[in-house]
Amino acid sequence: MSENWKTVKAEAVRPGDAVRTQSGDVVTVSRVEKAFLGLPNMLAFIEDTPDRWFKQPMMADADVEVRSS
Amino acid sequence: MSIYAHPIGSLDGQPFDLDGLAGKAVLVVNVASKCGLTPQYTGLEELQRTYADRGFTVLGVPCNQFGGQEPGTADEIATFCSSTYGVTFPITEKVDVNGQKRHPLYAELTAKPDADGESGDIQWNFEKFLISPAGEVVGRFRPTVAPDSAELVGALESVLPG
Repeated sequence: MSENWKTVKAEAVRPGDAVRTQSGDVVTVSRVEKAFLGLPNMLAFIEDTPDRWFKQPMMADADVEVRSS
Repeated sequence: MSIYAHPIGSLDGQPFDLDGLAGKAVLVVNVASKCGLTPQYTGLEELQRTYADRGFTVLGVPCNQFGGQEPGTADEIATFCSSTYGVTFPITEKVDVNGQKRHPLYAELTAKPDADGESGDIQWNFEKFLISPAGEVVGRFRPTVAPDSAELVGALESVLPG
């Protein structure tokens, strides 16, 4: 089955999306934290599932690969 | 409840002697080897060397939940800490500090609010908790608070035993 990945700005990612990071890891976004560490141009994707809690910061205007739910 | 009620392993896989911290002031820090804040090891080791003789220790807790910035094995973490920063303070096993698999030690630590009154999840690598000699969580300092900041050092000096 093909996977429909597309490139969007990080600030366009929504909960339920899957984001592929530069390392190739896929983060299933449970929520998006604005102003990561108080930096208004940063955000963080948080995966919060029974299997994993993981936080990945990004520049808000960075291009990211996303697969929408 | 004392933090010493929550067993944790040491980096070498043996049980860590938390009871050995009783009576000391302790700064618990979730650490990572590949983070922009990793140079904070320098300041943490300076605190260790300055205050160890006065009943204080840093306790490093490796965690890979933040950007995957602590990916190494126990041996790799130990080698990095000693060879790059000359770390002499104890390091525990790698654990989760947030989420459903959060280590019980961090379940207790994260109930402590920071200076802005905010408790809950660890924000990032190098968040710091100050534990009194009685084993109570008395301070929480977010990742960008430097180990040598007046805020942190003042709090530390106020809880040193004796």
